[in-house]
Amino acid sequence: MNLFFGLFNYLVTLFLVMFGIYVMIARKNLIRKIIGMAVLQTGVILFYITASYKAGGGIPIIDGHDAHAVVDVTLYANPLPHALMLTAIVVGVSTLGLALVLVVSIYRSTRTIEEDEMLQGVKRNP
Amino acid sequence: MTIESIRPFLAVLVSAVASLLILFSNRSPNLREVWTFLAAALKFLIVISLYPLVAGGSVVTFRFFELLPGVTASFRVDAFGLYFAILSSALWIITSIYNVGYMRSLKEKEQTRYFACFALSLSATMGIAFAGDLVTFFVFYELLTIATYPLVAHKETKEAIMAGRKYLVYSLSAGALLLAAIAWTYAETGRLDFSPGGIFPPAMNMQTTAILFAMFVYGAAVKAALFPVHAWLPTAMVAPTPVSALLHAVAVVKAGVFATLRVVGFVFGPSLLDSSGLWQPLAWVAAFTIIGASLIALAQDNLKRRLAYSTISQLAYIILGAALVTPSAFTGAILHLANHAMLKITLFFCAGVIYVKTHKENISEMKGIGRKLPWTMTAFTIGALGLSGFPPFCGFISKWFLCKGAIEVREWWALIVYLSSALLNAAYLLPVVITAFRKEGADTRDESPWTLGSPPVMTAVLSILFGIVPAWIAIQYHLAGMASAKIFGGV
Amino acid sequence: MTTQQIPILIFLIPFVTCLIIPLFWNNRLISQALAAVAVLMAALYSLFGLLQVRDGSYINYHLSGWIPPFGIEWHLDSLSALMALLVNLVAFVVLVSTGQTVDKDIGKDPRRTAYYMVVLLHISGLLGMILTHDFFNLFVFLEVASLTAYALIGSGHQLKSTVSSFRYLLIGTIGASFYLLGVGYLYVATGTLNMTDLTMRLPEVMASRTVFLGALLMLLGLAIKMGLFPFHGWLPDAYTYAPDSATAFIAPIMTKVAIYTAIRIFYLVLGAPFLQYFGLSQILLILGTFAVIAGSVMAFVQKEFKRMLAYSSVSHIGLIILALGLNHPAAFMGAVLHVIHHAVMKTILFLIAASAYYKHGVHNIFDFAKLREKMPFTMAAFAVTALSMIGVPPMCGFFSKWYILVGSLQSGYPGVAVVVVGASLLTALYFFRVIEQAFYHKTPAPEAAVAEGPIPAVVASGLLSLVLLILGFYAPSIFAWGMRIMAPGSAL
Repeated sequence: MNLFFGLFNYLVTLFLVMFGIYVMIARKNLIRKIIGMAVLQTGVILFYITASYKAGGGIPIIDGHDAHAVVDVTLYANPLPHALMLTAIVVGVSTLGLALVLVVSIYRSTRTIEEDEMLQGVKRNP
Repeated sequence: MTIESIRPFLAVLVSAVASLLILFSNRSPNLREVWTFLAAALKFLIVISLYPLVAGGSVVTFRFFELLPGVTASFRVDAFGLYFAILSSALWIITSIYNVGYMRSLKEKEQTRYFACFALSLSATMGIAFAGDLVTFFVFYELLTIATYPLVAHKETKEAIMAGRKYLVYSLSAGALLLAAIAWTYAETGRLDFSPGGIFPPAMNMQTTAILFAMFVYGAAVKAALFPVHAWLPTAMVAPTPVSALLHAVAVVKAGVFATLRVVGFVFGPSLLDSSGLWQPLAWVAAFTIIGASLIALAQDNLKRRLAYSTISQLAYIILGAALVTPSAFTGAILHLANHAMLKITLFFCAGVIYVKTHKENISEMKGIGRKLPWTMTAFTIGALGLSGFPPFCGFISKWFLCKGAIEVREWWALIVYLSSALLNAAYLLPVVITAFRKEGADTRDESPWTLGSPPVMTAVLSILFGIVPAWIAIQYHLAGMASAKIFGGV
Repeated sequence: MTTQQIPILIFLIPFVTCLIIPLFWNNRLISQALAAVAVLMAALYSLFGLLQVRDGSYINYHLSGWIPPFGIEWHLDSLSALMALLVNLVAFVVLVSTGQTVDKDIGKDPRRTAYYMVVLLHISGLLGMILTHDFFNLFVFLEVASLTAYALIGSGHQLKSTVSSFRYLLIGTIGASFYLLGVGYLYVATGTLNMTDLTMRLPEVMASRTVFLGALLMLLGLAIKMGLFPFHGWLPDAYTYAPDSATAFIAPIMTKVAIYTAIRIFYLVLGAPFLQYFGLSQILLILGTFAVIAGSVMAFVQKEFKRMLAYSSVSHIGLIILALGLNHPAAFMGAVLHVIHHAVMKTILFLIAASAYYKHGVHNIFDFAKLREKMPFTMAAFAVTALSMIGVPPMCGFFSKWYILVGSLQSGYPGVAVVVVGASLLTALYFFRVIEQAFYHKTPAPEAAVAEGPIPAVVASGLLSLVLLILGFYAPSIFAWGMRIMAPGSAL
């Protein structure tokens, strides 16, 4: 039981990653594929955030003027992964944007966002 | 003594440069031919200029760069290499004359590509002769394959393309195996140079030695057209006759034979081959090739194909001589390398002249040709007699040494093979002569232009001179004897 | 300028130029010239940097002055300088020689201006991947390079190019996510993202399964990005249907940079002892072997020229990975050499593909018949390059294969040697198929008017095929140099 609840976030990460990949592969609808991609990326982000979590840790903002004073790191959550994930979210958004552009472009040529019909459209009009 | 000199490199370079110049003088055929002759003459002079040094016991080297720790890519001209280089550069001059006559008489297309590839393949041959280590050797060995492929497929007919394909498959697979063998040799011994008497330590693992030997011999034997990997050679006879003449009697197949002799004498060494008994399988295969190819030649009606099988059989002579691992046989093998080249090129030249003048390729159609082309057919007769081993032509001398070697090691079966094959040679070549000189209709003389007609006569005269002039025989024997003395020095 | 700034300058020049280009919109020539000058300058800086570090030293640059391991560190050593030089030079050649092809493939302005922006951004991304010494920074640049690559592939008029770009995007994102996940594992285990720092902390966590799993995930991600065999699905379609000018960019260098990243992470950061501890090098060896065989066989059965080249890439990438898996200095240097050589060779081949399509509309190998008479120079360059691909000496392709072969035999893997040699033969098969078509097969209607492709492309492919010879001549020196500066005992 401890294994389950202790690692709950990681299990969710695992699930999200696997689920995302599954959707990207198995679903025929292009938009769903993109949603699967977003889920996959969210899973990875969750992984980083979980890793930086500390029980009882607060926001890592050092108050006051005495910035060089020795601080107790156990009181603060690790800020680095959060910063990293902000960047990763930006990357994810641009990927999403490009993917949507491509789907729109495909839709304009073939009038469909279903993969099977799209492939037939490619055959008819390469 | 070792002399550093750039001359070996120049000898290789000169025809490669010529091949570029040829490509760029596409517009003017006469200028193009000038490049060929200039390069041929220059190359011959450079090679000859090395003779006094090498004959005096020196080795001329030219180093490129260190390829691996302990391996320097280099040219290293020893007696054996120089011997081969003189042979091919001298015959290139004569072939160039013939080439011009042949290609222009037949108005062949794509002559620029043809001459460029020809020059390039001579570069490769020279590189093979001068290579001082296995990697340099391999570089030029592959270059030769690539440079001769367009020549084999030159006619661009379906048949020619198929022949080219076959040639590539055989040669490239051999090259790949050779490359693997070279890398393995480096992994085993840490060196790749050619050293008289071999580079393998005597305490090599028996199994490794055997596998390596098989790989090396396969790599060399494909070009030397040993049974059972000879099939590309008769097919490649669709190429224009000068190609068959120079490349399939001198450069390509002789490169294969040269490789075999290098492997036997300079990589494995006689003592290792003798102690391991590895010479035996090689000798048996060669003997089988000699007899088998001669028998097949008997049945061929197409003249060039008959000559091709005759080549296969004669090349195996040389390999058998090397496999017997005795100084006399090895000397004989080296001598036969040149003598067979002179004789066989004469025969091919004649076949080409016949084709140009009469468009006949089959022996059965050649009745009365001797009266039309008396000079040509006289040259053919000399070639045929020389190849069968009649004195006073040069073929006799090398065969004498080969037989002597067989007697020395008491391998009577080898002697029997040599003698019976000489009979077979006569049996498949002399009927051509007899057919040709038979009276048939009007015997109007119709000799060809001098560019076409003179080369066979020249090579025929050469093969007589090398059979009777003592000084010339001495030069030849000196180099060959030096090479085999070095190899067997330690035995 | 001090030499200290070289790493960032190499990156900044194309990046800033990318932002300048839109000012000159509506003029393809200016955009093209700007882009070409930018990568040429970056190439000069790389060369300058290479000369600075050629004795095995390195230059570190700290972004915004933050001291590592807290800040991001950029690192220029001989390998990264060499790669940066390669990428910039290849990009320069392709930029200069594809002007007319871009006009045809991409269409009118402002699309063309945008195309050159994306190209420069792509180059910047690749340069960032090469120069950064920080795992997360690497991820960002990996995505910059990948996103621009998707855009380049999808920039053609054809629907197929959009579809293959979309497919590549999905697969590529999976790869990037795996890489990011792997970085997370490493970060959790070691608490650092800086590569130098990680190397120092690695011995403590050598036996940690977290680190191993992280390395495995990163390998998986990079394998997708480099198109290693079972993960190569995106590659043939992307190369085949992308506009010719875009393929000439992406095919030679994108996968090579991913390979470089793998070399950096697995050999220079994690190091050979780590690879052997968990048998990662065995995995590389096996994957590489399969890739070599499968790629060659698939290339042989293709009808489309570009698709054949794509599968040939798959096979050669496999060869490089296989050489890395051997864990032997000679093979390692052979792999590095092959990265360089293969990049140059593929540039030529894709330029030739572009010219052939531009002028004669041929994509299919069987339409190559007698192309030699129409495009003599291009086809001569093709023949030389094909020979180099096969590994015929004295062209450069031979030397890299030779060192890999020696490495495989010296480290006791004769089976691998068989694969390497066999792959050469298969390469010969599929390239000679094209050569035979181009040089010997006759067309029904004999028309022999010479019609070469765009002049810059012809000149570039001709000159580069001479470069193959020069590279071949210098390969042993580069090999000896690499062996000398490879820190003894540290990497291999």
